Amino acid sequence: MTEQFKVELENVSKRHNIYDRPIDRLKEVILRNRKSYHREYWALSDMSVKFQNCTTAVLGPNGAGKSTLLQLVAGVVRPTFGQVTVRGRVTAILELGAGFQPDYSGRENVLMNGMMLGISKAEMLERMDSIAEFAEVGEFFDQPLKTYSSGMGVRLAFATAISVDPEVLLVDEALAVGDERFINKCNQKVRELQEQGTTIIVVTHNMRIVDRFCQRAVLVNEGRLIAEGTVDEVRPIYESIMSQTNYSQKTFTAPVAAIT
Amino acid sequence: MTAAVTDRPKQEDKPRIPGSRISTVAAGSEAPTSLWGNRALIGLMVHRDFIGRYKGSLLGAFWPLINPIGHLVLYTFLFCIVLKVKFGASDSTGNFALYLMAGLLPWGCLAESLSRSTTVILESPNLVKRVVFPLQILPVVLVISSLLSELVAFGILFVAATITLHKVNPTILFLPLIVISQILFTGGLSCLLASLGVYIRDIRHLMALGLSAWMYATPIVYPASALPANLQFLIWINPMAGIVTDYRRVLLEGNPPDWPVYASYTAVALIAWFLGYGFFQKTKKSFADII
Repeated sequence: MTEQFKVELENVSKRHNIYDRPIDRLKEVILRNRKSYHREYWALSDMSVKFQNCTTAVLGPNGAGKSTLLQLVAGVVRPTFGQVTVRGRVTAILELGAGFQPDYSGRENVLMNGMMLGISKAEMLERMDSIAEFAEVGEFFDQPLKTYSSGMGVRLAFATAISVDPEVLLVDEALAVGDERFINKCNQKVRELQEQGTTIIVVTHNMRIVDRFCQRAVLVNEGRLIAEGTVDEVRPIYESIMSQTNYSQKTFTAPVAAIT
Repeated sequence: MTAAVTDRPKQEDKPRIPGSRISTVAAGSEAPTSLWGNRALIGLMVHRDFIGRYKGSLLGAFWPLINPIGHLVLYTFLFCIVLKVKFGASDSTGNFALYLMAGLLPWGCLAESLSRSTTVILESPNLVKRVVFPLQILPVVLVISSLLSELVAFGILFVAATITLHKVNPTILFLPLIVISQILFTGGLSCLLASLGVYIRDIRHLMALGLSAWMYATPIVYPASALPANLQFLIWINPMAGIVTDYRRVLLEGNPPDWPVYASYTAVALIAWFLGYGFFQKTKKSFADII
């Protein structure tokens, strides 16, 4: 397969080092590999997956590594091993009100978000009206974000993320907070983005959202890729995993070669 | 592609290389990484921080003016009318308040920047964990914001000095040179403390004590000449001593900076900046894993 996808993961592993004290981490940074002060926890191990140019749902039980996957694609955390390749501008709505400052007004937050992505102030100001209109926060647009309801925060985050011409859009659980009308509105916007060739990756437990937005699905469990394919192909595997999951018996294994 | 339970990845014997993330974005639309590239964002955050302190207060934008004027009046009353303290060889009673202010203002800027920087990263988990944000601008924003208050107060001090001393000191034109050194020094230390504050939470509690000790080691409440000969070396190793003394020289005494001292604290400031900023850039990658 020679086609290039916008988001590709190749043998990606992510280890979280668990330290008993934060200073141990500083010692490791400064002393470099001399001595190990941590215990290991593998959030992802040896995952290779290519996201096609459509909307893909990432499914899996809690703690499967779904959010870590999105954080890696967004560039917020770095892979321990392997390679994450992202082609194009990424915008992400990771949890509620991602990257928003509670003391800043909605307008300032939108401006700041655009600047972080390298969009000029003038360009952001031009888009401001359409963002305010999509977010439907009304007079709250000039109020501090901490006065917003969670629905308003999500609407603003979503409006900002889609208005800056993303080539890759990451959504983590956020849509679950929106009401029916907002979901319909997003539905329409998501279709527009899909027509422009945007790759969208959604993490959710809500099968209703998966059915409505997603063409493909990726199933993750215990940090590993279990299945990928169309939503209908993955759904039975997902359901059987969910019925078997017993949270107390979970083990997290390291990628074998990493131990040596 | 059909959905099949994929096999567990095969064991490979080749050595592991550290992971990487490659991001290619259309030319011209990359997110800026340098401080200069982020100047618009810095401007927005400084504006927000500076104005935000006074937002919602009745007098609003007048507070940066009221505070220094109030302190000036207070110190003049206390030291020149009640206690009749004199500073060094000067014979004008108005001087002590001015001298004290010229020392306290840059000190206030440093103390505020340093103590706020120890928690600035911890207070912004949103920016660390959920978005790709140029974190290095956070301590820089603090420094610029507190420097703005200092510069406004310096303006007032200059006016007060002109009135009480009946002369305009053209040496105020040297002020930007000293300000630049002060920015570099404060900025470097703030970056260092901002990063260390993430790893070592005790730092913020140490700051109050450390800053008091440092303040008394700096000629703020006493003139530099009051230091005994065997402690004069403090002027050379403590950049704030030189900075404070030079501010007094250009603002109040009408002298140019003491160039050898200027050269020494500017050199220290440059070193502090490159080490502090470099340390921050090196350690910031793991902030998201800690917070």
